[in-house]
Amino acid sequence: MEEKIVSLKQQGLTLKQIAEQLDMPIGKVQYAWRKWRSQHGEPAKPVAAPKRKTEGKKAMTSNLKQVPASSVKQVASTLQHEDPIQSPLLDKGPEGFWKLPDRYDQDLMHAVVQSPNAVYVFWEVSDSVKETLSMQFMRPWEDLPKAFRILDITLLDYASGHANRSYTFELPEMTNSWFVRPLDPNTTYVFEFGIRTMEGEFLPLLASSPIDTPRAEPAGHGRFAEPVRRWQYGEVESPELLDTLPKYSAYRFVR
Amino acid sequence: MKPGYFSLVLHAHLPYVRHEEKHRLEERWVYEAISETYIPILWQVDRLQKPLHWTVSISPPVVEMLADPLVQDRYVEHLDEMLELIDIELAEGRSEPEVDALHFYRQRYLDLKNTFLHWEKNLNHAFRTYREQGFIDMITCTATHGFNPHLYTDQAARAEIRTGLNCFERHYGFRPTGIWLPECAYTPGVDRILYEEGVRYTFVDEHALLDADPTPDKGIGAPVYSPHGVALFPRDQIISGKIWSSMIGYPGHPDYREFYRDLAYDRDWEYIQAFMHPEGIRFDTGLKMHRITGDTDEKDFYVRAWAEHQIDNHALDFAQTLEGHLEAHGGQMFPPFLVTAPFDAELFGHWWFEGPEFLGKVAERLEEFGIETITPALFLERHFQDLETVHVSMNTWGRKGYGDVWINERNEWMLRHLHMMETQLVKDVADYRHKSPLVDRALIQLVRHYVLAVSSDWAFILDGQTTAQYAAERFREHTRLFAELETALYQDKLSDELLADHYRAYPFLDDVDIDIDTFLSPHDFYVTEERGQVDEAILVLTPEFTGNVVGDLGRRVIDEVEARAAEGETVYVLTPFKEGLPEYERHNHVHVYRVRLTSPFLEHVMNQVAAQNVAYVKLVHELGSKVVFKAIHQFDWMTITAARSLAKALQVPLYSTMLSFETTRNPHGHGGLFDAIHRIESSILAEADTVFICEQLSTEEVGMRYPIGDNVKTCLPLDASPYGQKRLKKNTK
Repeated sequence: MEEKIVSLKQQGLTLKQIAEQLDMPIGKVQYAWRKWRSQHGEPAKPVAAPKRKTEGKKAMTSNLKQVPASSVKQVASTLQHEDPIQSPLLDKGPEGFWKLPDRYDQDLMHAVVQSPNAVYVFWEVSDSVKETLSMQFMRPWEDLPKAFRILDITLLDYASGHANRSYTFELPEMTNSWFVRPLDPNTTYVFEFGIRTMEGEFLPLLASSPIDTPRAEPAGHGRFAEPVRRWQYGEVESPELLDTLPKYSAYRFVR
Repeated sequence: MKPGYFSLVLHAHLPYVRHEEKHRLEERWVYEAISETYIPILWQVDRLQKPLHWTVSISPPVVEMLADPLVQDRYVEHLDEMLELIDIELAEGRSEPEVDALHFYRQRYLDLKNTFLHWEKNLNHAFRTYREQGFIDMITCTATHGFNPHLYTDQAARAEIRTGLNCFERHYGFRPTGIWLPECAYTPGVDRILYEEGVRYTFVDEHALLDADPTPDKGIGAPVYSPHGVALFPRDQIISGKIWSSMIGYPGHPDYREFYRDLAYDRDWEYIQAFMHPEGIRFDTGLKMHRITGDTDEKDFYVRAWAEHQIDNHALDFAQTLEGHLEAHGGQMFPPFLVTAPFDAELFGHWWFEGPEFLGKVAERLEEFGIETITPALFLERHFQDLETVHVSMNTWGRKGYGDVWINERNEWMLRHLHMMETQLVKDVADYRHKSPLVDRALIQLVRHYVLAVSSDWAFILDGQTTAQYAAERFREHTRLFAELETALYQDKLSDELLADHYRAYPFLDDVDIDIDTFLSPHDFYVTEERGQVDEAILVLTPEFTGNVVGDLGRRVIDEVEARAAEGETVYVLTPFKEGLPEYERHNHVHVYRVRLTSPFLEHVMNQVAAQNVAYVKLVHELGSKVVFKAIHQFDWMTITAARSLAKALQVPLYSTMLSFETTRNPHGHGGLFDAIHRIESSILAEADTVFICEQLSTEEVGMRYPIGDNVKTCLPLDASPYGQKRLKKNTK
């Protein structure tokens, strides 16, 4: 049974789906998966786990003149440059065939709308963040209780830290996606994944971008009417409306 | 002419199911669509020989498959097989009603073949000719029918849109101003991209307008503009329902052909085997000999004359219904009332066998009734000033009206990989574009793999669970090919042969259709092309810096950073965000990032510090894709965990400066927080390559409270770089 679970997990199924498929309680599936992972080295990294760090850099530096090795530079860069680079989507299962990677060792959280009352969220926490936290709290990552927070930030700025209301709930260990429901239509939400600290405080690690749930009834003259008018008549330089397809930059923090 | 308009839109789409190997069951989807829908619709256009003002949307996968010689030749073979089967059937001495139906099919398959050969096997020529004669208008769809609301980036949506338009233009000789959004799925922002790509109108379901903000004055009686100026034409569900609903609509009439009963299942295996899949799989022949008959399993044979009679009845009924509907809204002016009826083209003919003839008859009745059929393009030309601008939220024409079909427990597993491919494409294009013609072709091929993977059909099929294995395999295959090609790109193992192999697997789209710059962001262009070379930098993590100096520590950090910068080092300083100060600033070689905590309102000190460290680690991950850090220097206990974890991940030397310790600040301290800080401080003493302690502290003093080694030193004078000390030692490891 354990082999079956591991094989399904490596095919990209969630623990929940595996539990459904095998008609087992999710707890048993979780236990088997964790046991397998702990026996096969923790965390269960894909074979030749992609080192995100080096990909872009190699791409650039391979075309640049090699900087003369002055003392410190040499120290720093040798290892970073020797890593074999490959697509993060390249991964192999135990039988040696390609499979969908289990994870990409990134910190991200994406949310997409399912309906006016439901949003699908998936996320991933990098090894470095996990390690930082376990150093900070002197406990292994697996032992830190995981939690999920729903923030209603309609007409607010998430960065201000304020929310109209929030709701936090515990998540099972090893969860990396959730259908969040029930939600309210026509509401701006941010979702956060984090841990519950010893003091019971929710410590967010990841947050989604703000997302609007669709309206499910006539709006009359609703909260969008004025922003639309201001944009339509050129009273603002950019629309005060959420754009669900923003331009992405791979090097957005590199200035 | 009566006031008001009717607009008919037919969207032809199939996933790209062309396979080099023979006998793939999925290629029969194409044959069925050609035989039952595409050619029968063309027959109606040809029969009527006048401007019908129908809008036909044809998706790039359909365009490409119709233009594909392999598909074309196999379709002719398929027709020949069908004619052979019909002749065998006729020789079997079937009952009279069966023989009648068989004669009907025999003539029909001969006609199909004649038409197909008349257009030299390429039906794009037929649609193009009728469009150029002014009989129909044509638009297209995004490259592979990707579901826009669930894409992650502007770039992916733009690539789907632009590639679709390019492909269509190559085959049809013009660039349409309208587009069919896959699944009529609208999401705020897609209108901006559509507008920028030259698209001026598209279609949505009616609740998009009914629930728009503000509520449009004319309801669904007129299109609206989205905030970015794309006209959205709403599906009129009352009128559409007459046609598509098998429950309340026309297609369920007992005299029409029964879709679910096929000759293949009424014959012995021995007999029918020769026309079935060589591996012994039974599939529909397309010879459906029965009529719906009623709510019974006992189906009677199809009587063509009866079906034709019903077509006439239903066409008349439809015209009358529409007339009543338009009259009820006859008072609407500026613009006049418009009924928009967008459909999947395959509904007509494939699902509703008699559908194409019905459409032809409707066109005739509407003319007699004086009801004007109009294309959206012409409607906009006449009434563009009369439309309201409103906000439309995400919605689709799918089950329940939103995203339920395309994201649920059966297909959610695909999404994170699709998003990964999007962000990888953005990065790869930024890093590699124009490095060489071969590399550019590889980037084009990566886009091709991505668009084939992102097709909404896979999620749709997985939702329906009918040919789920095929959909899952296709998704995996395109993802695998993407991964393998991207790896070859990174490892400089590209070759003409490799690219040819990748293309041959799915020869969809011409290279000229795919513009890799759709994936480029201006910022990435700046970083990779204009910013200059990669930094080899010192990473400094500090709780205090310019604008936020509390005591000696802050001043020490500023002095050290300035001293190193003066020596020519590039330094990245990460320090907590402070209201009123910029999140980023740069002074020559010193980059300062003031980093926001992952949450601003944490109550407990240790949690605040954890949130800060997590934020540092995440930022360095992002920076590390372009900046090479050669050493990490952290100050004070509050940045220790991020520094340790990053030093390990980046495999660089770790330096620490501790001007004070919890035990020296607070000699009689105790309790949980005190112990926790003490432990964290001990960890840096154990792990840093060098720990510099304040001149006022002696190593003996620190050694009394912490286990220390010979890596603990007194702070150096400012003009001495701390980073030279350890390099040789580290190198010899």
